[in-house]
Amino acid sequence: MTGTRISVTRQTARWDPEAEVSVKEAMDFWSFAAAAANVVMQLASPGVGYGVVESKVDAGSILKHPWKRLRTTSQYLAVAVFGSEEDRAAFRAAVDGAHRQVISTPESPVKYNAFDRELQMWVAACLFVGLEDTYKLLRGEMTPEQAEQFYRSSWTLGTTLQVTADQWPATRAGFDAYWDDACSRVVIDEPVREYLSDLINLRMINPVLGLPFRPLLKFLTIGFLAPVFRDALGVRWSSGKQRLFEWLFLLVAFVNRFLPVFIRQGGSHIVLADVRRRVRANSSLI
Amino acid sequence: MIINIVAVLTALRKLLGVEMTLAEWIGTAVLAAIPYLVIGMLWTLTHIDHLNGLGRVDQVASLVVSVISWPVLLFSDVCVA
Repeated sequence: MTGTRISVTRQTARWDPEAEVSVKEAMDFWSFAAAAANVVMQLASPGVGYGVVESKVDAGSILKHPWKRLRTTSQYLAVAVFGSEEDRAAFRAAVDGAHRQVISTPESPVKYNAFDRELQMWVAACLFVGLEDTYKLLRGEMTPEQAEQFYRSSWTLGTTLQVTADQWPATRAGFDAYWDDACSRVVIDEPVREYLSDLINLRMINPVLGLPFRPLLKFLTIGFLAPVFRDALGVRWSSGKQRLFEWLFLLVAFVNRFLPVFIRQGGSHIVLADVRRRVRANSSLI
Repeated sequence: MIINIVAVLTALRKLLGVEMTLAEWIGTAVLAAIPYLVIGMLWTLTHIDHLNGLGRVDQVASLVVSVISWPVLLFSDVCVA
């Protein structure tokens, strides 16, 4: 199956071709430009899509509590990538508590259960794809060895919840096969499309704040979607926009090289510190 | 509040062990220079009386030096023309 990944013709050259790589380096704050696209990808699996749209856990809803959801999702990523085993165990317990309530009813269009390891693997795969795409745009193409290292370092994106290490295909090439196969089952039904449309149009935040960012978010979101997801969502892209997207990230990648790590990734460490504070204070994580 | 000295030292060693690329050092210097130069410009704009009567080149040179060396000029009345 083709069109399952974004394709970029102009991207930054690698400055450190021999370096060891890890998913940690993909956590520069620019990567969050692909956040909404990642939500689209995750929800394009019907079990995840209906699970989120029908969810009764309002406290975790991005449309009802967008800022809280931004915090908890960025904390999940920070814990999965930078956290210790204890951080991961604490966050897993908290997410499990919410996920227990996410289970299909007889009226649901598809059967789902948030503890379904296959669905969780799909979400983790989407996170990996998002981080790999942004990493390559910011730092350049990887050698096959680097791609394996990067892939192997990403497994905690899933194993922080119920995904097991042996669920991840053993090699990076194996992941491509998994991804292409999984993308053949991508469907975005009307209720999920409406939900995603509200998200991309920022209808959940104050319009004074949201309106100025709407065109940019739309541009970035569609730019980070592979053709299969664009088609499923029913959005259009053009070669002119693709050119703009690639030039934009050439500029961003250049600027990013000059930013010290505490600016690029400081945010993740701050939200991770907040997770640890909450664990110590016994206050709720999500 | 009890401060765990071992944990503090570990964190400090980790912080001091951070490696940065030359590009990151340059970027850090640029970022640090921004507030410094903004203050310099504000200070200069409020202290331009002495520029009257100077030639064009001298005026520009005086402004540039004033923006850069505002901390010195705060405490001394050096003539930078």
